[in-house]
Amino acid sequence: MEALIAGLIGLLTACGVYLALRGRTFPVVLGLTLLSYAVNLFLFAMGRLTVGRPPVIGTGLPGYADPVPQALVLTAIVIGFAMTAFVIMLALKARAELGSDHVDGAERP
Amino acid sequence: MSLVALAGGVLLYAGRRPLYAWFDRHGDRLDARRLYNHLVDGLHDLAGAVTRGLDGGGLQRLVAVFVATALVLGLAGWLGTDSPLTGPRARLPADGVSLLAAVAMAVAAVAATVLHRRRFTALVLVGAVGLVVALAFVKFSAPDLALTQLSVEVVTIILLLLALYFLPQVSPAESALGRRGRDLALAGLAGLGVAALAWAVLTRPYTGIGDWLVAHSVPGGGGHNVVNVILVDFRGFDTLGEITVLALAGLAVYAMLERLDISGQGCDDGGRAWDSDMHPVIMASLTRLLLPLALLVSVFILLRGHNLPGGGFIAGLVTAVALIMQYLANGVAWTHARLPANMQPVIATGLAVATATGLASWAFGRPFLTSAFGHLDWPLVGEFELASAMAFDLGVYLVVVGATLLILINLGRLHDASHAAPPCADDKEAAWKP
Amino acid sequence: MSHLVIAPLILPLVAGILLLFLRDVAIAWRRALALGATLAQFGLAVLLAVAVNDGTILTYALGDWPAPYGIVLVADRLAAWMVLVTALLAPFPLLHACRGQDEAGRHFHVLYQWQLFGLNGAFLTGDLFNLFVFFEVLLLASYGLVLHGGGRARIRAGLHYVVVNLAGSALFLIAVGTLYGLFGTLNMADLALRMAAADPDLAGPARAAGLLLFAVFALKAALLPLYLWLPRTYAAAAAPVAALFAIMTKVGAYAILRTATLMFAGGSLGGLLDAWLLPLALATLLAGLFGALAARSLGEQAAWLVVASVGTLLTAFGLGSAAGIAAGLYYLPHSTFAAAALFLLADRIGSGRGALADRFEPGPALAGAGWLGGLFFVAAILLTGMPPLSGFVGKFLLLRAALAHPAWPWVLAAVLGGGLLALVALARSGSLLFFRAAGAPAPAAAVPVAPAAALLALGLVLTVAAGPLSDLAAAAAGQLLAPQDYIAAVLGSHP
Repeated sequence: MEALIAGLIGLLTACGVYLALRGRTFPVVLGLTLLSYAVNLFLFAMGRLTVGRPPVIGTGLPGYADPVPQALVLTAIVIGFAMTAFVIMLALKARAELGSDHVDGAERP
Repeated sequence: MSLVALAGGVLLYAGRRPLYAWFDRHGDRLDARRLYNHLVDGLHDLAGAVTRGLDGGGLQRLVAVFVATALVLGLAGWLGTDSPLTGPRARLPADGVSLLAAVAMAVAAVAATVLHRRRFTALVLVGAVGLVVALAFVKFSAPDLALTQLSVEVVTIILLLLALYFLPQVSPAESALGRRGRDLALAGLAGLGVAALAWAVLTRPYTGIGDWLVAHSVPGGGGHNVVNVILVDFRGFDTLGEITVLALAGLAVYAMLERLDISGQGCDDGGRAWDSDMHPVIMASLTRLLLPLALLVSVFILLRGHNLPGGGFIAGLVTAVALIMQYLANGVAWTHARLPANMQPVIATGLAVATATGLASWAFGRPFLTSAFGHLDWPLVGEFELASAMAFDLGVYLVVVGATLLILINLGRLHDASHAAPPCADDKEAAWKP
Repeated sequence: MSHLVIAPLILPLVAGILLLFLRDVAIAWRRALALGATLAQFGLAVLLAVAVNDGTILTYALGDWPAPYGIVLVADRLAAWMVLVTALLAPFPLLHACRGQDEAGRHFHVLYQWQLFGLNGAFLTGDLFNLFVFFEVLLLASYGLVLHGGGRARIRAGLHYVVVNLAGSALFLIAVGTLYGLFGTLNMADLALRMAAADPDLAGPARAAGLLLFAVFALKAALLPLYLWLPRTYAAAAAPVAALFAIMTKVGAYAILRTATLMFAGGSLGGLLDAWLLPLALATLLAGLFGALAARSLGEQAAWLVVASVGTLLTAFGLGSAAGIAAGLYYLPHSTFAAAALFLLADRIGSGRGALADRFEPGPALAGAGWLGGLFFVAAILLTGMPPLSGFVGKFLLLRAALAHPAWPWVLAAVLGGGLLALVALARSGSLLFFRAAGAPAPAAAVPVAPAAALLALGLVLTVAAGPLSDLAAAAAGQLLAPQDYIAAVLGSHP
């Protein structure tokens, strides 16, 4: 299972980085979204993988998954959402003002 | 030494006549001021060449350099040691369902990457990846994360869909083969590096602060859902920063879109005009019926968050989605007539509530954000636990609703404005121009 | 427990919330509130600096949870120094903006206050993940500020700035996650303890994560080769925003210094940055000055000089000795104020030249050229490190510290050669802007000159008070090189 998760994280990272290196804003935003999935899974996995033991006290289970990475990922998801919302709006603004959706605008530097 | 100087002097004296003659012809060039100017101009040209050489290229170069630097540094850090890649920790066996989900995610991610030029398709595939991520959270004991991931996923995809309306539907193929090869190599190496790091950590044992937090969650924090207690209590300060980020995003988007003049396209790639019937009747009446129910659910999620999966953030997103549905189904005009359009006071109130909750503990001689909780007997409801952390969570809820709606409403307004544009212009590129 | 440690965070946060509530009130009131808040901020920073001046390290356990389980704020000499420098800088770009530029877009004052919230949070927090959160706060505020006023150049530069920093944030999370996965804690003092006692088996991933963290901070600090976002962003931003951003790269430098002296000080991660920091810093110094030579406008030149100052600052930190760190800490406020002043001055000069703005082309004579030329001259002396002003003192301290380092010839050559390059660059721009003027002077502009002058005056204060200030810097450096005091203050205060 560990190999599966590590492999998936790696694959998502690779896809995210490749898209983030494209020249148009929309694929870049999609790439950053994939990259944030990869990062969230990575951060989450740092509490190791635990099946069927949610950290809710009083469920009568013999143990609990480490709640810390879960809380960190929750914060990271929210911040990632704010960033995605901002960058896609910036992409629209750039499209309107620069006349192209290329990341460097119509006239490349 | 002095002999050499003497000899030089003699030589100079002996050759004085040709030297004088040369100086007569070229002497004005030795003017110190001109020499200085030549030197400075040369330096300036050199600096220009060096800077252009380093600084050429746009964003793609910036990102590529960053990825490459991270790769080199990460690798160099590891290579200096003799740690094995795999640690001694016992591993979980993989089961069939997980394998299937992993394959689905991998296929969707790769397909989104390969098909990225067809933007709508790629967006749907990215959404599918996000859903499998939520499933992974369910599988590995993180119900709060699964709920959050799901609700964020919905809002993100709606947002990207609305935005895609204003962007070209396809990306042109413009990267040269060499560029794509370079990017593929960089991306592959980055993926390998992150996977190796994840593997190295996952196969090693550790002892974290988690056990202490689990032990103190009920007696110290007054909540059974440890993740929520961490968010509103143990690490409540992180959450305060996080909602500030969200508020900032809302305000920055608002400031940015204020004078934005953009029109979407009135027709698809085949030149067919888009359906102008914006608000299907069934959807409109259904969402109106569903709104009270959805609001009730979000209050429920907000209240139970301290003890069971839920909390202010998820509740806020559920409310936001319910309200956005009104916009989608009934239109901006209909909804504005019934809902205050200005979300900035909501954001400000949310942040003020969260901060005031934190400051209240000063009155009791405690540090910022110290929580208090007690049990309350409500008639009909029965015993109910009331924690100051809930007020904090209410602040989180308000900021989430306010910021999400502020962004989406402004985007929706752009849509309404752009519907006034002629539906199907001859020149597609012209139709997109501001 | 004293609330003084958290006060520099609460004040800008609350001021921002109030400004958001009052967004439709007359601009004069909002300006008064914003300026009042930054002045009060200065008062708090002074109180904090006085409170830690005897070497005590103040901690503040948020939510009353003991470290390492909760988040803890830590005010040592370094943190107080950074908060003080920020508070000294902040009023002047704000004053400059209050002559009308703050009305070029929405929410300037809210963004400005929350930018200060993020900056002070990053300086005061003792928790690695909380540092990430404050980085995001200050980044999102800076995104809004970069775009303030709009325009094509700003939007293009802003897009680059945002995307690169989003990639940086992803890497930050990977590094923090790895460190938690290995050591099971997020508190920096606790991390330092656990790293020092770590199993050698963990060294590989731990050192990799440490250098990834360094990559993130190097991106924020604009260290070569990750500096290319800076000149285009700072040159495109509105002048008051660019002036405030003079402190932003210092956040990255601060984070590098903090992690290097606390977490990478010994054990399996000891000396992690030794091979990287000094060479990269020297290269950054020269690259920044080459950029300044090649710049086509005064704003652009100021942005490149920020890169060069990061190079100088990290050269000092890269020496690793108490004398080197002290020299860097003395140089830090000097370079911040001087660069901020140059941005504001460029705006003032540009506004008097019509369509030419601050581009290096011969233009009309400037109204008030005598005054402006004098201020430019002072700024140039500060930035090039010529005697007798604070730039010279900073470079002198740096070179004296460098003599004890094996790489001293390189440092000497780069710093002295760099000073010459800076001199040539600024002499060239000064002669173009002030002496090759032709034609009638353009009408005087509404851009104020006082804030820039005040920042330059701060540079003079740094010169006059060089003795006591360098003593303070030395004390802060000494405290950093004894991380056990920091660790004891954070972890030892509870059973």
